[in-house]
Amino acid sequence: MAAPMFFMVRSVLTVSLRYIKQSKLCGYQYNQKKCMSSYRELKKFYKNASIVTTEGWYEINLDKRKLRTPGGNLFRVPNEALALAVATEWNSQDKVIKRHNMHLTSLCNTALDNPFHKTRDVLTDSIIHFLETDTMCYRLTEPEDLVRFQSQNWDPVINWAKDRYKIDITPTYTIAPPDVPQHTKDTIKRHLLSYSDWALFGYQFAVDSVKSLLIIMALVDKFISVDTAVHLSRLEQEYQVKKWGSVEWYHDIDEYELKTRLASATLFIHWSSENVSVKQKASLGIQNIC
Amino acid sequence: MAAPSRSISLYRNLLKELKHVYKDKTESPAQSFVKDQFRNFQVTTEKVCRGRNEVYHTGETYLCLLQNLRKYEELHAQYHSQERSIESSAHLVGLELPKTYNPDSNPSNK
Repeated sequence: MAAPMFFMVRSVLTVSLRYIKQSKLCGYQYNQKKCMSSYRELKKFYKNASIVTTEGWYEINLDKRKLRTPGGNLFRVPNEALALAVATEWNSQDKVIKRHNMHLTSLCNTALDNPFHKTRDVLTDSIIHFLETDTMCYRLTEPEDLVRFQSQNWDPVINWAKDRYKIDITPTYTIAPPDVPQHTKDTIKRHLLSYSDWALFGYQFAVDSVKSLLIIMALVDKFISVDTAVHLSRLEQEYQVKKWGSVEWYHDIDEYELKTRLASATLFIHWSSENVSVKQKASLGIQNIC
Repeated sequence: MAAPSRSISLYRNLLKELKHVYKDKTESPAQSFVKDQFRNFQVTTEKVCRGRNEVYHTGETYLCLLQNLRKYEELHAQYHSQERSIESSAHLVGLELPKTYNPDSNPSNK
């Protein structure tokens, strides 16, 4: 009678010890990985997100803890404006952290982790791939006013791209893809390779969201604004909305989400590419930023 | 080159949006950064500076980001925060549910 009792007590003790050890370990791991890639709903566990700078890199502090990427690396960016914008993203979360809207943070995470080990060539090729299926190159032949609408909105941007980069691209009116000569692809590829690694991630994200390379080229070169870019990419929808009315919970949400994505991508590309230096004009004390 | 009135409205709108995020706390680093940037890039009306248009474009893009994020969250909370009943989904597109067959209300049954 004593033996089974003893056995039971021992097993209870072992189980409880194991539980304590596990929960301690889990607690430590959980704390470390709180910002990680779990898909559970994460409550806002910090009060304030601030930036700190070390060795020219900027890191984010959530209260006392340093922000980390899903891959476990330390989150750090080379640009102060980008760091401040990421901190603002984290500060604008309310009770629950909605990671799908934090595009700048996600772009930084992708650039830092590079989980699929993409090289510059791979990224550039996937961006150029969109040239043949560029939204602005596929035109309709009817109804008449839609044809005119497309021409009015899309032609100026295509002509700008042709002038600026000395490339040839003509829109198509049939189901056949447009004819893109090799020298066009080479010119654009050379241009894309001039961007930094980080900027290329942002570029690919932007092109993927609007399905058009030419629109993003115009946007990044500051020829058009984000509102215009989104309008150009959703041209046919806007035409239909003008005719049939807009549905707030579909059209408006779609438009706002696309604008958020594009704005984040543009800012990410811009901030990953710029070098900020301040030169002081000694005589007049005026500052020139270049 | 952006006209001064556009720059002023951009500046005001940016600070307004950041206030939505940072509510009543003392001035955050982001807000002081925005103020500094605008101060640094102030140019007299006689000078045309390429750098100024670039900074204006960046500021405009960031304002676009903040505004559309807020609008998206508002609409999302309004329409997608909870599951709708079939009846209210039908009302959303202007339709009524059809009347279903109810055997109890048939007067010919004893």
